Formats: sequence, structure tokens, C-alpha cells
Amino acid sequence: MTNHPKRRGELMPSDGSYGWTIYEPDSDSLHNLNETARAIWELCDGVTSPHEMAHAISELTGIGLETALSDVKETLRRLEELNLVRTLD
Amino acid sequence: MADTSKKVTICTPSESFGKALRLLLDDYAVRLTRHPSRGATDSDLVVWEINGAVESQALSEVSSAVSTLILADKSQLIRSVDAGCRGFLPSSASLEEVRRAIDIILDGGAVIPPELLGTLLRHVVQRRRQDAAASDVLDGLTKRERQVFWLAAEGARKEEIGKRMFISPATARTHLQNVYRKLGVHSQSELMALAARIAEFSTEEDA
Repeated sequence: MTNHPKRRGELMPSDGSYGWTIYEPDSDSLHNLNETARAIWELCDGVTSPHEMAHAISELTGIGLETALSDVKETLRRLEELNLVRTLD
Repeated sequence: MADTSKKVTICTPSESFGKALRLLLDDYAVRLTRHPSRGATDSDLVVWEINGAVESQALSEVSSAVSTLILADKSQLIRSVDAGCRGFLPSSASLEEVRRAIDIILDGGAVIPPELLGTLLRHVVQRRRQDAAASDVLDGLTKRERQVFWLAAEGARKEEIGKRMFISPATARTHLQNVYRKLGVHSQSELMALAARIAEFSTEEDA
């Protein structure tokens, strides 16, 4: 459950010749996020909820709130799988 | 396929830019103007190239009436989004990029430069929190001040507020000043924008 997702502090984001990437030291992996995933990852401050993220995306892009929320949850699920965020309840 | 019945108004200080863009939009009904106030609101879309500063009120008036695509430098981005514009491109965008953005917006979408998405999302999250707080602040207004607030939100000036509330314009002005102070707004356009967001926020809360 992703109530208040938070970026893991030990990650190393970088904007270089390979595009925007995050190095995850535990698995020694380099992840390349698209702009939307990156924006959501940056919102993972441990305070902002998925609902707040979805409302903001819906307002900015004009897509429906339910669609935005579904997209946000799916992105957060993937970010958690990749060990790039952790969840604070 | 573009809809030839769609009207696009291009507002630009650059005649050559406007004419070049019009050539690319030959499948739309295109009108060129220097300022969007001249008949732009009967369009389906206003493409507004902004050089320098534009008052927030002017932005809000246009974007609340018609879908608006802003071409400007990035310093105008947040104001454009807060005013409700449907799209934003940097002034350096190519004619083809502008054309694509026009198609997207007329198709019901929005256009935001991907590299600016994170900045904008953070801003919108913060602003929505402030709006929620302001919504609570309305509870701190007196009954008369809340009446003044919603009349001003409709665009009424102090004379009209006075007339509708059966008070003098001077009293209406005093109420209005108190409302501004308590809500931390500095102009009627700010108050109107805040009221719109509070109304939207309240609707979402009720849903």
C-alpha cells in the first residue's frame, strides 16, 4: 500500500549522456525513468499522497481523476518494485 | 484529421510568425490579432505569444473563456498554469511543435513540456494545499465578509456589492479590505482565482 511514498535517500539520480537515470546501489542497477515516472518519483517526499499526485496530474493534463490515480498507483507500484521508493503509512 | 470548422486565433506581436503559423494551419479557420481581447473568445483556441509581462488578470480572463496555448519564456509558465491555460510551449518552439500542440489541445488534451512536468506538479500540489487552507480560512470570515467574498468572486465591484447588500460602497470597501487581509490576496483577480479553486476543491471534497 503506497500511502505516503518516500524516495530512498541512498539513490543517485543523474542527468547525463544516458538521459535521466537513478543508480540503485543495493542491486547495482541503473534505472532510466521517463518524464512522468521521474516527476512522480520526485513527488515522493514522504508527505505527498498518491491522491494529491493524481489531483495535480488531473488538473495539469485534463485527464480524469480516476485515470490519473490509477496511473499514479501503477507507477508507484513499479517504483517500489525497483526499490526506488519506500512507503510510509 | 483537423476539423475545418474549428476557429483558431493567433495573438502575436510578430506578424511574420503569425503568417507563417497560419500557413501551417490551413485546415483551420485562423484569425491573426495582436491582442486576444479582440474577438478571441468566440474561437475554439487562442494561441498567445507573450513577449514580456502580461497581467495575470488578462491571462485569467482569456483562459477562462477559451482554451489557450501560451508561447512564452519559462518565467510565465506557472502563471499560465494557474490561470488555467491548456498548454504551454517555450518561445523557442518550432512552428511544427506549435502545430502539434494546437491539434492536441483542440482534441481535448493538454500540452506541457515534459522536462517541466515535475516542477509544475510540485507547484500544483503546494497550491492545492494552500487552497485547502484558504477554504478553512473562509470559516474565519464574518457572515457579511463571506457574502462580500462571493460577490467579489463573481466580479462585482464595491458599488455593486454595496447595492446588492444594501450597504454603502464605503462599507463594502471596508469588508473587501478585511477579506483581502484575512485571505492574503492582493487583488480581485487573485480573489476570483482563489474562489474558483475553493469551489472546485469543495466539489471534489463532496464527491
